[in-house]
Amino acid sequence: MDLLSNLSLGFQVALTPASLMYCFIGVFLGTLIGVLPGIGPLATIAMLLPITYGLAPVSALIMLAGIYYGAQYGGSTTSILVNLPGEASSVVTTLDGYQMARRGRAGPALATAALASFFAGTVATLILAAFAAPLTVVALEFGPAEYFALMVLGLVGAVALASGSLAKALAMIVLGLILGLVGTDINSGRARLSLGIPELLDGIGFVIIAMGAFGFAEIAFNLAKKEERSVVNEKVLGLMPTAKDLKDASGATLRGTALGSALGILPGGGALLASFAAYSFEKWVAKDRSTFGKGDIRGVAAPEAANNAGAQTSFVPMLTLGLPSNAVMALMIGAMMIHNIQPGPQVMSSNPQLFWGLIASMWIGNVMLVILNLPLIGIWVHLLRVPYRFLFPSIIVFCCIGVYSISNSTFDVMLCVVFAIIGWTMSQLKCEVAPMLLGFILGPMMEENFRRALVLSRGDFTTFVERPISVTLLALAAILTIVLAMPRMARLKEKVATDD
Amino acid sequence: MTTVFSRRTLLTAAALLPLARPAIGQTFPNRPIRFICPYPAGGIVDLVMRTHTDELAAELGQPIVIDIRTGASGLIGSQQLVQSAPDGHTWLMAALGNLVAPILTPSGFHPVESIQALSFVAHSVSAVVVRSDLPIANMRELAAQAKAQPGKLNYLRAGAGTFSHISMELLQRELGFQVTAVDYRGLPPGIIDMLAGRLDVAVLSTGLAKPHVMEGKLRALGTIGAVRSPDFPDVPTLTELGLSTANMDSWYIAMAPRGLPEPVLARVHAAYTKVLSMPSVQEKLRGVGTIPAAKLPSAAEVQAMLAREHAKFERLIREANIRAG
Amino acid sequence: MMAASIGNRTDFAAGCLFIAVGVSTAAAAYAYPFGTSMRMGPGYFPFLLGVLLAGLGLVLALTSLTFTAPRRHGPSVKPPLIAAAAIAAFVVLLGLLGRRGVTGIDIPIIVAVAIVWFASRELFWVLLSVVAFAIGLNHLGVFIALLLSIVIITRASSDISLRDLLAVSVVLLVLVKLAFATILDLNLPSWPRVPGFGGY
Repeated sequence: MDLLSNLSLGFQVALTPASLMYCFIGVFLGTLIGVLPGIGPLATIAMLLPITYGLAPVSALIMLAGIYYGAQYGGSTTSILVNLPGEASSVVTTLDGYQMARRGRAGPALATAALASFFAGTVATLILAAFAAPLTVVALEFGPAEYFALMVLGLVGAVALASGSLAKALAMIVLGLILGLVGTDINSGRARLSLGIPELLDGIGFVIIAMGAFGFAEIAFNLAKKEERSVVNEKVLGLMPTAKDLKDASGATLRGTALGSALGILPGGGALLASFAAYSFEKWVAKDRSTFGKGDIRGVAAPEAANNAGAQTSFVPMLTLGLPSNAVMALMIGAMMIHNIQPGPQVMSSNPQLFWGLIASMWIGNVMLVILNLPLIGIWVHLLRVPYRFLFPSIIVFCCIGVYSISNSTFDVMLCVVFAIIGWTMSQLKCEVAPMLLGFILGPMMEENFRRALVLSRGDFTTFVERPISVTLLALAAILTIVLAMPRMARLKEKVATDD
Repeated sequence: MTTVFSRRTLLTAAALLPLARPAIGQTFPNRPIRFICPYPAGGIVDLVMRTHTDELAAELGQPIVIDIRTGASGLIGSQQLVQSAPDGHTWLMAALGNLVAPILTPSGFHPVESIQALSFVAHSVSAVVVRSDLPIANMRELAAQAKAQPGKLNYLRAGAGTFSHISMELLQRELGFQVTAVDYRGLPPGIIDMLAGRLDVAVLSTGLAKPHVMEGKLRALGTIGAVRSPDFPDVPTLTELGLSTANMDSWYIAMAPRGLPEPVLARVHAAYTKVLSMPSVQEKLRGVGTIPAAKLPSAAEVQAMLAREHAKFERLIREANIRAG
Repeated sequence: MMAASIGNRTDFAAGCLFIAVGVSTAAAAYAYPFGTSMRMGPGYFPFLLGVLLAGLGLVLALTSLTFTAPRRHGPSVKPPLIAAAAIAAFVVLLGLLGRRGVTGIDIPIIVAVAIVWFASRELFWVLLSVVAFAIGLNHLGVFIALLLSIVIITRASSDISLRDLLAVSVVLLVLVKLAFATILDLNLPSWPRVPGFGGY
């Protein structure tokens, strides 16, 4: 079989001592930067790029890829322990992961995240190996109209992220969409809502909002609660998940893996949606939704599986077309060009060792990550016992340096202050921040694709319902809206009746 | 407005001179050099910088630190440069965007008068490509097709005021045809829609175009640049096709803030001349898809060329009514 | 007929804030071209979103009204409203002053943080320490800026002794040196910069 011979070629490359070493360096650094708030794979890969010039191209790519998916593993750690999402993909993990930690279940949460990620990584790597080429065709089917419909579905699903009022969740999503529009409008080149500040012409960085609204605001909250002096009030209840945990998490992991793998293939930002979509979907299929947001293990397993699966399958467009689906992939393309490898459809045939070696190394890297992360859980849980008065200065310091490191800009650090105030204000008013972040991520993509679709259809709005994929997604969004609104309407009617 | 600012820059420069004087001439460079990259890490400008910074650092005897200051088509980096002391320890690697962005978004400095060119580094070449399933084999046929079915063809534009926009605007004016712009955040996401058949024409850097032309998915009609690209040796430049106004030279030029002491400029230019003549550096420059200059112009010649190009772009942008904001 | 009164004050306050942000966004977007349905202008989408946000805010504010006697329980809405005023002050000052100062937005941020003092002392100290780090970094270098910011942070919590402060500072500076400067080799200005002698 072709796949087997290709994979054996890949493992021959990936199992050489040099490959194993660079794979380990990559996943180790990835875990490290994932754990350090603010600093992400993009900044790290950018810094390491010069070092890779001296390496063989296979080693260089194996290491850079390791940093990328290693950071997805590490990113969940701070989300769970201190409510600090280091990356877009780990925002959702804060919802139930942090709540589990507060209830003394940080250990099972971290273990579930690691195991779900490992399972998802394994499956997605296999998908990548077996179907990379045919999947590219699927990716091409997704045009601007389809992306727009997908974003709409994603946003409607985002309502599920909030456990409070529907109107508030919707308003926070729209607020996020507006924040996402700050910067240069690509179609006209015009600066919008940027208050005349050149640093805002490229928009506000995700990490700036996340660090401000989650990190700094959360610290101020904890400090204000005089009686509580550490993150965990209750006794730490075991490090490993129980049999019941594993049973609860398995279905969520499977569904998360499937959603994440599918969305990751889409080069236009599908992977970003993965964790959000998986969480919403999980809440939707659950019989009892009341435990979500209060430390439900399914709310950790599904998004963690989805983001790791998405991280692996988002290599499809880069490997098969040479076209990056995010800034990290763009850097890896730069690394290939430095070595005189022309990224593109030819890589698979002209550099099979590189192509298959990289894929095989991804699976090895996932194994290493599980081995690396499971023993670390004990250390992390111990860290939570450190009195809060020692912990919070460290969080602030690391956040500050992390935010600065993104583009060596003290302006960004100052901007964090604004979002800390916004996040604090909204939380005081019982408005949840997570839906705002999803709106922020999807806002620009939604507008761009909407306008692009209309240019291509020459202003004809029926383009959104003429195309089968687009109309299906929009119909799903409509059904979801009705489902979401129904129980609340019933409740409202009841309330009005009793008020009279 | 610009004059006020450049006077202020000069004043700052004058104020800093007494402090910097002992260092100048005899001891330059006396500390690490900060080399600003105004575009994303791993992008073409970053790659061009890394082809020769080690060699330059060895030549000058001080480390060179690449400082990535991305944003607003190069504006953020340019701003950092013109605000730094003109003592030779802060440089920037400029591309066309650093010249054009301040025209579209006035930012309190002049893209030529506020800077001092240190050295020309390399040319870059772009290609005009169409989808290969269209019956278009050359530039004239492109114009004919577009005229025959007005409002039908779409082109890939990486946003208003970008190279992909200006070059296509000039092509349309010179050949008298019209294609519809579809905007993307950068070229790669647009290429996906082009491969999927939703877009018809694009101007792509040769590095991006090459793999898809080799696959037979896209067809190169002509190249935009001073010389033919080694990636497409058989494809003529627009000038060769008689379309000289639409042809633009795209380049990478090392710059410092205006007001550099003469000995410092001479020292840096000499170092650059030596380093860029090394076959190993030239090889690396070609490797990242750029073309080293056949003969390196003097710093004054580069400065004059920038002034001419700036005037030209100002006029073209006004005439074609290209605007941002 | 009974007069309407505010039943849920947090919802009412949130609704009013959303209306304010929505209306300002729509007003700002109104200045940009709207374009046609084929080629939408830069104003179309933000205007729509601004109106939508204001509408959602209105729904929220209206549903918070009740026709029964006012309920006086629930948290005070004064602190979040003061914090919202701080954000408004930031936006207005930034519009008036433009980009200036060490980080470009020093004055508006400092004013906003000063206003936050009246909303929450804890948030104030946390933010002041971030500001100290941002403004200090380029001139004082990372270590002194961090020390300054650690000293400020610890003001937020009353139960930190001088010994704790020293311990935290030493451990953090060593960790920062190891993680950021040694392993990740970040491009951080480390020590105070003296003109002519650099520090880059």
